[in-house]
Amino acid sequence: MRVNDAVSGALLAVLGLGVLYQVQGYPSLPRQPYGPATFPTIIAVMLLCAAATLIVRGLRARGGPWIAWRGTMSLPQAALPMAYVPAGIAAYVWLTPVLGFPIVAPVLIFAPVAYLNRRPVVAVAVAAVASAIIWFAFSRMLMVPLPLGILESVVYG
Amino acid sequence: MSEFLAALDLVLRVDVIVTVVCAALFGLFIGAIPGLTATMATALLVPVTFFMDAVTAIGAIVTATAMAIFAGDIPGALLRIPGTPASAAYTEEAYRMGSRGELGKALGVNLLCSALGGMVGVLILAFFASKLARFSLQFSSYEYFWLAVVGLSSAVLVSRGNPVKGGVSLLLGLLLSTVGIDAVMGYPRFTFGSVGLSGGISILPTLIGVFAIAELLRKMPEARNAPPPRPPAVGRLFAGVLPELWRYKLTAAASSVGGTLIGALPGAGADIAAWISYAVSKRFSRTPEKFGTGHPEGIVAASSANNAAISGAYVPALVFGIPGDTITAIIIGVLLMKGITPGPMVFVTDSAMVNAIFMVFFFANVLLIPLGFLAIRGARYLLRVPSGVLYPLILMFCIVGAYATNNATLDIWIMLAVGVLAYVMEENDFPVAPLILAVVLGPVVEENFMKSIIKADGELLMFFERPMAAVLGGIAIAVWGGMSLRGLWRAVRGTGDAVPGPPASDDVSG
Repeated sequence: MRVNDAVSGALLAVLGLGVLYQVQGYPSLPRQPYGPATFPTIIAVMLLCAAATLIVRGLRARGGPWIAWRGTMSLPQAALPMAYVPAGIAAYVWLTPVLGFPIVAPVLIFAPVAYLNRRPVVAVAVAAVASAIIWFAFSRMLMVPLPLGILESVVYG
Repeated sequence: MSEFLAALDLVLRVDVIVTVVCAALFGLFIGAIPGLTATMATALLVPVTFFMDAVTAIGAIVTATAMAIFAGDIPGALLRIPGTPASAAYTEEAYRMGSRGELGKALGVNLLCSALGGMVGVLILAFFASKLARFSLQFSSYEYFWLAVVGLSSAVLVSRGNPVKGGVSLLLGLLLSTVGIDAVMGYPRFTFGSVGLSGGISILPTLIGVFAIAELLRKMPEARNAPPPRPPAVGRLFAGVLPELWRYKLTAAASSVGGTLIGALPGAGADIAAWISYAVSKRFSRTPEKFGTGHPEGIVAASSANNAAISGAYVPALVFGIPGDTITAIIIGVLLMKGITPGPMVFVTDSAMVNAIFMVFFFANVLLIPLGFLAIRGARYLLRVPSGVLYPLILMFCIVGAYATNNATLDIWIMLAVGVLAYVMEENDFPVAPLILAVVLGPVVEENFMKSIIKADGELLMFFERPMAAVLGGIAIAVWGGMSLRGLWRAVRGTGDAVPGPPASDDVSG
């Protein structure tokens, strides 16, 4: 995804102004003008300078679209596998507390492996083995409380 | 001597050795797969090291990176695709040797030079680090402030492409580091009422986001149509390697030392060391015309330099707590998580640990020879693992890894957000290495800046009053001046981002 420098500059300017606005109410040290706002203010001012440079550059080099897709594959082809990354992460966060890691993880591994390799049998095997290894390594060896969800009542019930 | 034995005691433990060997295999695996970098190996390893003591954790990371940098040479020679950016300088050379039937020789030279470069690097590191540390004990907040600024500025300076974009990346990293309770007054900044954010943005999910999630976003679409490559057989390994090494012994020695020095410069990492050594050895070679046709001299120079650079990067990291590249930025993050603040005091209070780190480092480079041998033998099978299987597994590992350190789902969201940000940044030629260095160094810069400015009562000249501070401040200003001049020169000439030299890679150490 190629964004014209003017667009990224404008976004950065908004960020810089947002920071300056946010730090307005921050307190300062007694009898000194410095405090929690000092450092973010310096960063925001520098960010605004950089943003201005980018906007000028972007406008001078203007010729193409503001935002364009750039990649070895066309956007419709690339969209699904790419979208899987945020979608898979969101699905994990929302579903594991309910359904539990042992159910969610194999599904989240199976789906992309089956799609990318077009071999569902391999995908089933990979999903099962990999989920088991990750579960064992993190939950048993490293004592990370991976959620069990509804399985909690099965395991401890 | 007693310190040496104490360090040996920390290293020669079954759990340390087993962990190091496992980390080595992991590093070889990640490094050998084209597109997966040494930095990514480190970022994926960190969640696991969180559960280890400091020496084991550092040992695991050090070993994995050394292995990954070497393993990057394997697909370069077999398939003409460098496994990591650090191998790109001599991929052509190794591949051409391979097509002449000298694959075993090319990889053998790669392996031995990598190990040699790494060992020379460790020796230099061990020798100079403690001396530098003793010197830097006199540093005050002014010097530390300038040192951190020099480190950050050089990260922008060496990130090829537009300095403004490097600067933006740096500023975004600094901004991320200010989220949470501030160190001066304990005031919550940019937390938007979230309790989770008041602890600040954890380094770990940020690292995984930048180095793994962004990479997955880039690579996932390609995985669908990519048939796994069919690498050729390697043949006899090490045949004719030793005479070749003997012939280029001076190149190997010079490149190892040079690589260490380049690695020690803040911002410059293994890939830059490899490119520079390759170019320098060509310049001084008796047969420069043979370079690029499958000539071992270039491989000797660059593969010893890139492994030496990894060791070199630890000099500023351990001595000043200023990372020389992205990998040492991660290491500093790990040490901070373990409650150890890298800097000269570590050499006084924890000298056994520092020596133990040097030993593990050396051990890792010795281990490189047998394990590297196995990796070369197994590479044909390894490279057949389809990326369509690998990437979904890496994604799951990232999610669980980001969650594991704080058991907080907020960290998973942070990982995703930073990953998307890093992806968009890299697509638009914003380097990401300055961002990571800034996230790690941000608190150091701010703390020392605040301490200094409060001490100086706002008198900015005080920042230059101490001689060492004046020197460091001068360097920082020179770096900024250089960057502005470069920008100005480009604006006058009207050229774009094109810079001669190696292809742009944002992964400084990968």
